[in-house]
Amino acid sequence: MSVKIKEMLDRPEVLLRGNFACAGCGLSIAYRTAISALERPIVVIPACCASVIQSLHPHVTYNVPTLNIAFAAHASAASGISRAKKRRGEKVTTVVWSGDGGTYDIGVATWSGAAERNEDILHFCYDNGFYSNTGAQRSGATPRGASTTTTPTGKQEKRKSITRIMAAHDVPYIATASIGYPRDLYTKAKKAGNMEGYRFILIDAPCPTGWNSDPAITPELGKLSVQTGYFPLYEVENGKLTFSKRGMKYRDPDKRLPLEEYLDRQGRFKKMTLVQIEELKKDLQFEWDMLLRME
Amino acid sequence: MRKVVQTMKNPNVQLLTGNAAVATAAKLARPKVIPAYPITPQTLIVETISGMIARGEFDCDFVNVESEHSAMGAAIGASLGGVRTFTATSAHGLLYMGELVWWAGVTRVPIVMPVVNRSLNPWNIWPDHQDSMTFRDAGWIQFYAKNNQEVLDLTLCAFKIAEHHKVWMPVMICLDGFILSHTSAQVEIPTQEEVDEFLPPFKPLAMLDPDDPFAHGSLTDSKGIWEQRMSLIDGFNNARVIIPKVFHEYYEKFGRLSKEMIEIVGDINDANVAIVAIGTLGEEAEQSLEVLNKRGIKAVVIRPRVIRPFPKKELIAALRKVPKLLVIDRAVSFGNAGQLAIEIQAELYANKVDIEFHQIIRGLGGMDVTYMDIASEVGKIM
Amino acid sequence: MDNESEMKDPVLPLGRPTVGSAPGPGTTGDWRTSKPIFFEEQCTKCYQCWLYCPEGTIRVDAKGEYPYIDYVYCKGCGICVHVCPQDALKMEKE
Repeated sequence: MSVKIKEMLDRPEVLLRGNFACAGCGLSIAYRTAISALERPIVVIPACCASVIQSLHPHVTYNVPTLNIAFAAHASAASGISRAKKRRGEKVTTVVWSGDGGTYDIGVATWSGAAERNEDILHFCYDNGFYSNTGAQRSGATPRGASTTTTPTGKQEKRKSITRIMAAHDVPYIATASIGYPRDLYTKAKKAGNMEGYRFILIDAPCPTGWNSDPAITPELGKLSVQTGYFPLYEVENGKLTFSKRGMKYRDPDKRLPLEEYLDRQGRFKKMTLVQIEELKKDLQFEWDMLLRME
Repeated sequence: MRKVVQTMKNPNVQLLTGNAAVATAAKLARPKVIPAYPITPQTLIVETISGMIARGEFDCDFVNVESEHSAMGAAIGASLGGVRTFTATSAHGLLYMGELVWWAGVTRVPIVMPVVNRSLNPWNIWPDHQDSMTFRDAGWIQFYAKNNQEVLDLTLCAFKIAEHHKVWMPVMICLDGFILSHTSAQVEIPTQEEVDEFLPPFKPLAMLDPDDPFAHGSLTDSKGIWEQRMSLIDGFNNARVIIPKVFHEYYEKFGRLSKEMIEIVGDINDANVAIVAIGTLGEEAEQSLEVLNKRGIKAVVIRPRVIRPFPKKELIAALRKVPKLLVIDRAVSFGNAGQLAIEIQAELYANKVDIEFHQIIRGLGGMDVTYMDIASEVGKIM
Repeated sequence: MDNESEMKDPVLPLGRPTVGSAPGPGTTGDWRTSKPIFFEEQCTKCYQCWLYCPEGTIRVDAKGEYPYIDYVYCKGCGICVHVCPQDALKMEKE
């Protein structure tokens, strides 16, 4: 059951306007939506765009307690906070708010250990498909064929499936969401916030600056990624996968919009060859096939 | 100072290894979260603590993190979450958590961490001071223990010093691997009641709290960084006063840990040479005094137990009284010289002290250094 | 100094929540080259503009009220104009 806007309107404001973010920032939509769904959050932010849109000391855009920490230390710092608060008998929601760099690449060991210990952490990864903070270098999340500053002719390797790796840790809850559908994201964040153990939510968050796309269509890109089958929407609870209402019909490849509708609106895909596009489509279908096996 | 003697009458004296002394001190200090990762020669610390918790003797969360980097990450999170926190490591573990050691140091997170000194690569598990010396810049208070009793005493003092609201910085207690960590010696253990009187509950200067939101460690410009770094320098200057104060308090209560940041053994007013060494080399040097005396050499041992803050005032006051000095380093700042030698020379020059200065490097990679070796080295410079 | 009460307190790296936290004067409205104009007559209070505004510069005081724009901070990204199903918002060059 998706949340009503009235409930969202009544939530406290967690992101204060006038910060350092680019105009049309997908991460901002994600943060505003997801964190406002939580009760008493304490947010750990490693090196990533979120630590830059935070703005310059001593002024901060986040209206919640925040711990900035080194790139690969997010889930370990969150483990410490979670344990400390339990010891103090204080009920909080300990959150990791990380980009794809910190979750797919440099920070894998730290979240893998925390997930194996089933720490009480809600780990959000806002995914824009590269190292946005430092100027758009490729990451494990970059799709095949995308042009980044370190893969100028298009990335050779396919995108890592972080959710399936997370699922192999048998954590209680995994979900994917998109800023194109904020009410779905809010509902999942709220649901996860009320659970215990290691929970992970991957958020598709367009970056107009790095993707070379029109800032005004950021939400539209968030919708297109789902509608073209690029970004499947689902939840995994106790090992069982359920496709979300919003994304269910795109299981059927014939129901998806052509991938080109998503690619054509972004400068990072402009130089893709037809061969690369076909390979990317194969990658996407492969991921769908693997997900279908988990249903 | 009372001599610690194990007798049937004193049940508080036990034979403990250095690692067991660390674990015992940790238990007495009542931290609530200990994230740690095993590494030789520290392993018995984490195993002993785990055992104490499993037997119900120690009410604490031991977090089996997957690396030392995560151990320091979790320690920072736990401390800012509002509880007393403790971890321990050695050599490559210390290097692996290195960026976070700096993080805790310069953002002022009062963690207490014993470091069991062990040499660095190629693989060598035996003691020297390369690991801890690498981090003397990182904003941590640093202690070096000469024996297992001092390990326990310094660890207990470390919590009180770290958490003092005019200090508020992390403390590293260094103990030589295997020589102390794995060797049993008499250690007098205070009771829990006595420690509770000495060390009150954790009272954070700042704590992550949804009712009072702040960001800790935000993006900061040069003006902000300057302000924080200057404050850290002030903090170390405050520590120069507060550390001896806490040592004195400990001495008053427990009768041990003579009261200053440096320990002088021998008659400083009637010495023709001073030996400066830290850790077990210091205690070994004490043993050489008798041998040297028989040879007609009146030596005195000046052993800093605190390296950060560097005890300039105390060292210079002592060194003014002797004509000759031998510094024994157990590590090298490659490209220059032993770290103690470098820092002491700087102080001597700054204070225009006229003294004959000698320096040697010994004990790297766990090489044995006996009191006979030290006596021989002193003999060479006379 | 030896007197504890005279010792300076530690300066901790703490930052506080601030509206207009961007460096400089923080008035990010200065960034934009065009701005959204709101037409109340077209608005059906669906609040899609509020939902998608990255920073909450389109504000709604309570359900049932019309949204309004904080032009001091609006960066002019144009998202609100794009998501409005009713043409109640239009971009206009500054």
